[in-house]
Amino acid sequence: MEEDQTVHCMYLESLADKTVIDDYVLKALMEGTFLEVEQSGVTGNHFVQDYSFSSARPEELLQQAVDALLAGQCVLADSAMDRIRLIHAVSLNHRQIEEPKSESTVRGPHEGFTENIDMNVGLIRKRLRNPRLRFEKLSIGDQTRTTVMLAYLDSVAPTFLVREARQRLLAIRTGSVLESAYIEEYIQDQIWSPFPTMTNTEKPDVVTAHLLEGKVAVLVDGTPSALLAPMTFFEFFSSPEDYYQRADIATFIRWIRLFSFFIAVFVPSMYVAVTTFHQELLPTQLLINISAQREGVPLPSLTEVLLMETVFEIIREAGLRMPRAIGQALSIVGAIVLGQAAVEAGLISAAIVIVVAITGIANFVVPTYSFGISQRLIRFSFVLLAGLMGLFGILCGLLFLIAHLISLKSFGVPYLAPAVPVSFSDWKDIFVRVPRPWMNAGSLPRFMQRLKGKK
Amino acid sequence: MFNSGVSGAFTSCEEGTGIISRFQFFLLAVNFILGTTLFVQIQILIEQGKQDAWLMPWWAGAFGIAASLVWIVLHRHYPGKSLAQIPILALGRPLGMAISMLYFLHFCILAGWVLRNLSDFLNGTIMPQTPGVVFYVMFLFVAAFTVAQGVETVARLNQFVTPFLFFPFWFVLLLASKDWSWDRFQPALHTDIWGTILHNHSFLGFPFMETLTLMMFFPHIQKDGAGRSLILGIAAGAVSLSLILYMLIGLLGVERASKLTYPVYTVVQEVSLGEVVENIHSIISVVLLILIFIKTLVLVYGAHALLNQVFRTETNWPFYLAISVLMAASAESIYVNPIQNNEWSSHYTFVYDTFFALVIPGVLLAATRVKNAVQKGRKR
Amino acid sequence: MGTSIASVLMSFFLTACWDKIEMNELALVSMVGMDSDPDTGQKTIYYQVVNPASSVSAKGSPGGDQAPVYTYEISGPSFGEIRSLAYEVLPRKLFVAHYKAIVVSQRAAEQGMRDIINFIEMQPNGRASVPMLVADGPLSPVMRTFTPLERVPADDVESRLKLLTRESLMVGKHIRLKDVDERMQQSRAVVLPIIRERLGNKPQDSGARASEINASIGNLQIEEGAVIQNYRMVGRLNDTDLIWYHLLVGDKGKQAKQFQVNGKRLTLEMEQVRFNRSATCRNNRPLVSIRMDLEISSRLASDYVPQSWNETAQLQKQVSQTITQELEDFYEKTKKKGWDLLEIRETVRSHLPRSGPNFLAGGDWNDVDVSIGVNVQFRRIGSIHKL
Repeated sequence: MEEDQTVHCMYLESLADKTVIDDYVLKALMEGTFLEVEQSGVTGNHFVQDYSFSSARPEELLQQAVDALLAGQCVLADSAMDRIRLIHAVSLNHRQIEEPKSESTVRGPHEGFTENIDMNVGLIRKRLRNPRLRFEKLSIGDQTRTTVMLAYLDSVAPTFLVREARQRLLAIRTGSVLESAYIEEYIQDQIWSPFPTMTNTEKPDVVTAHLLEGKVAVLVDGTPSALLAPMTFFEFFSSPEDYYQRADIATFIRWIRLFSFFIAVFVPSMYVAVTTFHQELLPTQLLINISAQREGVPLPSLTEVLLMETVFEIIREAGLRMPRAIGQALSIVGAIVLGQAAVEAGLISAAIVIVVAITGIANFVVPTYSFGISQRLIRFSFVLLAGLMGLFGILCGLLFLIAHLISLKSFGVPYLAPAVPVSFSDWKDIFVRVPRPWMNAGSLPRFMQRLKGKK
Repeated sequence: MFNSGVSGAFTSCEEGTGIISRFQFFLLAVNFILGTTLFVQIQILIEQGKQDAWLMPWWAGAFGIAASLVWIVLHRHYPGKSLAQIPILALGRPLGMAISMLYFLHFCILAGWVLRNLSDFLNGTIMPQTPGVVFYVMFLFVAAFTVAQGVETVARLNQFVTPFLFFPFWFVLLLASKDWSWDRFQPALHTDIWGTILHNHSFLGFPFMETLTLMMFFPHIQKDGAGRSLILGIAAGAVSLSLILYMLIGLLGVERASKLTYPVYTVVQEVSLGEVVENIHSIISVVLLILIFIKTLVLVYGAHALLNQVFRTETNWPFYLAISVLMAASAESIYVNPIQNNEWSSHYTFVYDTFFALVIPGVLLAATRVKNAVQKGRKR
Repeated sequence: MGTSIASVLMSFFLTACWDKIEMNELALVSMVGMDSDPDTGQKTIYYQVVNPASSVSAKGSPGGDQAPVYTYEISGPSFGEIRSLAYEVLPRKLFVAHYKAIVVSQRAAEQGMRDIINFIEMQPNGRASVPMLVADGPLSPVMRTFTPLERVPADDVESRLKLLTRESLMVGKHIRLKDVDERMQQSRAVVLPIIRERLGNKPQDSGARASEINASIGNLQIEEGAVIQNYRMVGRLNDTDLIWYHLLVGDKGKQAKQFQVNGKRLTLEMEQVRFNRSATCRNNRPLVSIRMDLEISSRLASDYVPQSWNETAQLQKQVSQTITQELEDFYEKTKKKGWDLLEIRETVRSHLPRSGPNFLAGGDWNDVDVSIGVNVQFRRIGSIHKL
């Protein structure tokens, strides 16, 4: 090069990696060795891309340049060589890999996803070194243009499922995608169901395990939560820890979880139904004790239960936002003052405190947080039904719930599989956790196999 | 693409899809037969049959199976079509539609009976102050919702709840058997059962003739399994009834059982689990209510599917509302008091049910045969 | 300057809040009794005040040495004067907002209750929607009786009235002071329950009452009815008459009664489901027709249950005849005593405004025809259907 040429090098400082640009691009330009590193002739080269000024209209070139800048790339506008060159010099700023707070396990890997999607893809790839593991890249959201990846294991996942997931993702029309929950609400099967049909997780080993079962995962840039679909009711009760512990204790814990679900949903309403409609169900001594407790209490049972449940929800919400320093004071206030003192002041009866406490604790046993939310919503409606019609009301509510669950589908899989439709072979991982040698790890669960048959 | 339960109320029922398995239909038939029989008919049977009352369901069941053969043959002529469409195909549109509407009214009246029995039972036992309308509205609402999700949901719901019905009920009956006494069966096998049945023919009509309603499910059963499953279901229902009668006679004795209005409830009331849990009759009564719910569900499905198939409706929720109102009103006004009901039943149930279950299908069958013969003649 | 004006204005708060009163300075009145001596004109009010230290709470019920209520008796020349005289005996400020019943002595009721009603209504924090009862005889034994099971007698009375209204036809809903007031102003009659103290060796203190197993002695009894017309008590109705009265007035309750049908005795539970009362003109005379629909059930029948539709129809007809006859007899009885318990005057006034005034002015009961129609339907059977 003899004459002085002007090359414009543009990049966004917050997104691009200055070190790379200094070391590679600027040095090469100043030393004049740029020509040697041209590799733009190689097709599919994402590191360096060339666009000549005449290849497209100026508006399109400008748009591409702006897109590239926003993606963190460095743009070289070279009027002498009549081209713009895009260099991929994005800086990988991300949080340290640490254990996710809401999914801690005793035994097992403690790595969790970060907000950077490339990092997350790497975490999955290093666990599943299978060339058939596919990641499809999509850009969703007009304003945010967030990168979304659809992950699946090509040999295992049913074609119908992958196609369905891809179609639903492509059909999303929205301005912004900031978290995977945005996407979940668009692609889930039912808007009005209180039950989630997809789960989210921050752990790469969980995602890998599900991918091996033929499920699809959706990763979203900017959030560590990955979505997994399809999910059935009983799968929400299994946590990855079940597979890292022995089979007998894992089975026992599964039963505890299922039992806790029933406690969390039905105990308050059963209490209201039994104490206000069907007192004959209580053993005599308990009946006498409870009515002695209720002698000086002003509120009817139904109002008491609703009031205490609401207070518990308030305490729980407050506890989420509480700075750690005051957390201890709050637990003292919550437990002692609101519970014990209220009983002694004659505002509520002592049995209510026990009922609400057991319900609240049982709520947290289910591993997935979003499932716990549905329990809370259902619990309130059952309490209202019980207050209206006693056991008959609970029965009607239960039949309604069962009918809803039976008709719910998650990406084509019936929600209550394998209980309905019945397939006993799948029960070895739902109600019990059989030891690994018996688990027949090569084949998919029956309900996933049925999806393979679908077109 | 996105399956939504709410949109189920806006689309029409699927036709001929083979999505109910044979086992599911079998369970549906058994639960349908047991439905309100446990609440209404049981004490009449014991009163009439005395200590051999447990033989009566065998005869009645055989009669029911014989009747169902007529329906199965009729169905063979029109595979994939339900009870609503067969009259139209056999007798032409105007007459066929009239007959279909007759069946629709029949279903509504049957549902009225069922719901009224439900409210009589609940008002007489565990919830005396609640007005009956509340029970009708709640059951019809849940039934309409379930039917709106499709016939698959109906069958699966039944399959799902059957173990929760079966095991508690038999467990409690077995617990009650500490009061068992073989003397209550003496003298055994002396009564003329066939004569008793002929004399009290209402048992032949209710509940076995009412299983005609299950014909509305025929198009959806997989691979032509409808006939065998129905016959097996009727047989199993009859055997269950027989066993229950047997247990009741052994536990309560003929005199006491025929005096009580709800002997099943009384048996359950007197059971105690150890010394801690004494009065579990509320829970068991509520569990047995599921049987009544299944019967209501089948009838609501029958009524709705009939309207859907005859008139090819698009938006469905006004029909659910109308059917619910009709059924609730029918329940409120179907009889003045249970004595009147029993008396009417003992005279007219057989005739009424046979008209719908044997006479009309017989006419349709004859018409079909005639039509086929005429067509064959024309071909030659 | 501004700060000093502000501080002067703030000093208003130093004078203490004028209407402020601590809770334990209140006398929580639960029942009020009102008496008036016809000879001397002296008025007496009994205030039954709750003792909070001895009420039941989560800590359990207290021992026997504190009475649950204390009755204060205050006399004066008029009811209004008693308000000032009250603090000669009462140590705490009178708080009547939570009272649950008003009992009027028989002699006060016979003299006329107009000033009693006005006095109660005039109180700013005493509601007029509390039930009113008439004491049988003198008032002080009623106000000085403890009750078993419910420690505060006013709670006992209130809950009994509620149960009686719901489960029987002996007490109606319109026994509140405001109903009495409204009806007296419209020249209608009202029937108030009569309360009396049951005779027998009364336990002398609340501890003895709480430990006495016989709940019948030393207890309050609510039975019969006092007919109030023109602010005065003019007579009584016994329990059977009360049933017919409430049927004729249209109260929708249920009542079990034994009937004689076909020579057999049968206890039926009857419930009024529809009631219609109207007046028309027939042969130039007003005719008041009362139509009621009753549903009967054999839920409580341990003697006989009809077995067939014929028997049921016969039962319905006979019960209908019996009730109609009893109602007509009741009407004749009250007509003779001059009581307008069937609200005939009111019915004629509202349905026949033009021809009505003739009758209303003349006031002769024989100018009005009354026709009573009872339609009985057998609706429910109980757990036993054959005896």
